[in-house]
Amino acid sequence: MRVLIIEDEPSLRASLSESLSGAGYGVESAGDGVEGLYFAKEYPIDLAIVDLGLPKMSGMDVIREIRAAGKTYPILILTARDRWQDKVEGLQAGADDYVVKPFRWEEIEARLNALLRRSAGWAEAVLRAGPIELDTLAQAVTVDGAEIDLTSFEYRVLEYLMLRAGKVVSKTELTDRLYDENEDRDSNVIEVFIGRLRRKLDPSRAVKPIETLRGRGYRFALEPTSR
Amino acid sequence: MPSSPPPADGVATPAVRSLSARLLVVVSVLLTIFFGLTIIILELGFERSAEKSVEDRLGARVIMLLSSAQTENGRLEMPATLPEPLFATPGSGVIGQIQAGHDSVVWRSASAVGIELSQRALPFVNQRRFDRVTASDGEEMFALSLAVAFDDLPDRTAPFTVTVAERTAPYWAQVSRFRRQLLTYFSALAILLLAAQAVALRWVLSPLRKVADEIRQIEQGDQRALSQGYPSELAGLTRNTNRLLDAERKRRARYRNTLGNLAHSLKTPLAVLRTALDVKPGHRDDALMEQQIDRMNEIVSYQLQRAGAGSGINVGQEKIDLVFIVGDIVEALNKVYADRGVACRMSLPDSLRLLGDRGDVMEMLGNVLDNAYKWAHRDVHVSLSTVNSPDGGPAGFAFVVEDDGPGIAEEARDAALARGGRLDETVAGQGIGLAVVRELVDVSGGDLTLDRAQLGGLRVTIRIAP
Repeated sequence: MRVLIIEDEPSLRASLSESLSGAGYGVESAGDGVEGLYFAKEYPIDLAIVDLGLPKMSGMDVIREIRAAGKTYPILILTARDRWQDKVEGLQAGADDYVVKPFRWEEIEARLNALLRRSAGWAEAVLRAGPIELDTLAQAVTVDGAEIDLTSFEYRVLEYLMLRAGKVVSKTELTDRLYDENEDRDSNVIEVFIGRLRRKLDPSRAVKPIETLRGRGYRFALEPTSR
Repeated sequence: MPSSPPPADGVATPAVRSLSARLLVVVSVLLTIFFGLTIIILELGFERSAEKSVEDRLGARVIMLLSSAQTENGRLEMPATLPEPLFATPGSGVIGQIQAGHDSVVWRSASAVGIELSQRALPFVNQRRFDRVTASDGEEMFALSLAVAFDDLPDRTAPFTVTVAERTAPYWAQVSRFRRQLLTYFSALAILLLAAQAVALRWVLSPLRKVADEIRQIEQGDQRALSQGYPSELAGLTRNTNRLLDAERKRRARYRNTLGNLAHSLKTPLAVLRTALDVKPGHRDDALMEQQIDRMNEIVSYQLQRAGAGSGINVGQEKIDLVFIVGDIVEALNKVYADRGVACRMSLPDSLRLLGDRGDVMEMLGNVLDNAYKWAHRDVHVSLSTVNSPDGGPAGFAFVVEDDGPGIAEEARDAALARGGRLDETVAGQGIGLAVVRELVDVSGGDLTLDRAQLGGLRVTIRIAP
């Protein structure tokens, strides 16, 4: 998952980037509205965090431009102005949620999770498909009610695939979105991880949650179920 | 201040910015037109009557010449001396001549030496002709001719024409003297009128000068409001200015209070933080520090929202439609609380327009709705209705929001609203939403009640009186 941060305060931008990387997100960051809008339009972004008070171009305009360019990924507003008039205006401009400064990282993380999930069409914080349940808040996975022990990277791969259930995800996309830039980017490693995931999720090979499409990538094949 | 004023509307050009100057321009133009026309009319009348008196005088001289004429031997004879001595004096400017038929001159007065009247059409018998001719010496003259036929002369069909002429110069001198006098009188009159107008203006504009004076006094703090007793045209202005001053004073007082409260209430958490820092490293109470930061943040938000609240006076207000505002807020909340699956049922009129501050109203309704969404299990019910004033004046409104959440216990309701004073006296960590709503409702002179909703949770009712 690649998150774009548009925030002009350097220390805030740095600490957000750090927290996001730590939580397994790929991060792009921009310090003004114009640069931010460029990233927002040209890079493969899954979610944007936009400060409203930006130099060169206001956050409100950036949001309008992102939407006008046909981008539909979720946008989270960061703002020091907590009057309802400002909030309503921001949400009407095309944002999906807002966080008022000062905030805690946990707050941002919870909103991010919820927005990403919602944008993938999952209504609840726990993603359910067949026997598999993935709790995005607890970052825990159960199969038929029994908890599965996953590494952090395995969890991120599964979450990414589930958030794109039904869609084909290429190996390059997985490496781009899941690796940090300084990590080893060998795409063969992905095959190993997918193999391990399959064994952990579906030891009997009866459910086949993850399909391989030769030359194209992988697909989470189970239909989301709601309780 | 902008260096060049924006182009004024209509009559006023940028050059004429004072009322006195405008009036001076108007009066001067009117004076010029009226006095000019009057002078022309008077002058025309004077010329006409002066010409008439010349004609009468010439007529009398013609009769005098005729009565002096004798007919002898079928010829016309004139006596050597005439009763009018001017005829005998060369250069007197008055000449007489008698023509037989149409051309031959039979008699000329002694004064006519060297002066020939130019040829002109002569009148028929018993008719006269008065006009201006140019004499041979270049002088313009009035000439009156009368044609007569003498009974005792043989050729009764051939009339004699008696002509008397005098120079026009004295006449023109008279006319221009009259014109000069007229101009002198009217100029004096105009100056008098302008002076009178200046005095009148001073008197008429004195209330404006007084207003300016009083406003300066208010600026210097010597006076609190404009005095009473202004002319009716200014009373509206002074009344509204006083209301504005009053509102401004209240606003300033509120800002001062807010600032005071803000500063004081921040000191306690700051003190706690400082003592927390004195603790040896490794023994710091991070939870305590975080709690204090939260508290400071809450204090700042609360005071900011309070300070933004309008003053309840119709300054800077606009016509707003509450139905649209509620719709916008609910739409925004549906987005933000999409996960909660809250179903909001709304009973709204088609439109509810009133005069108010959009930001304040949004703050009021937004906080109540947000609170309902936050606590509701599934259902929120919003209703909005008009409250008509008994005398048909501007309408107020009633806004009711219910939820099916846990609600607030009866004994805790007052506490949820009681945030009016110093925040440092209250428990940190509670939401400030309802307290802010209460402040806003109070400022608008309205009424806020909390009770149990039919849905099971909290019911918030806001009534803003008409």
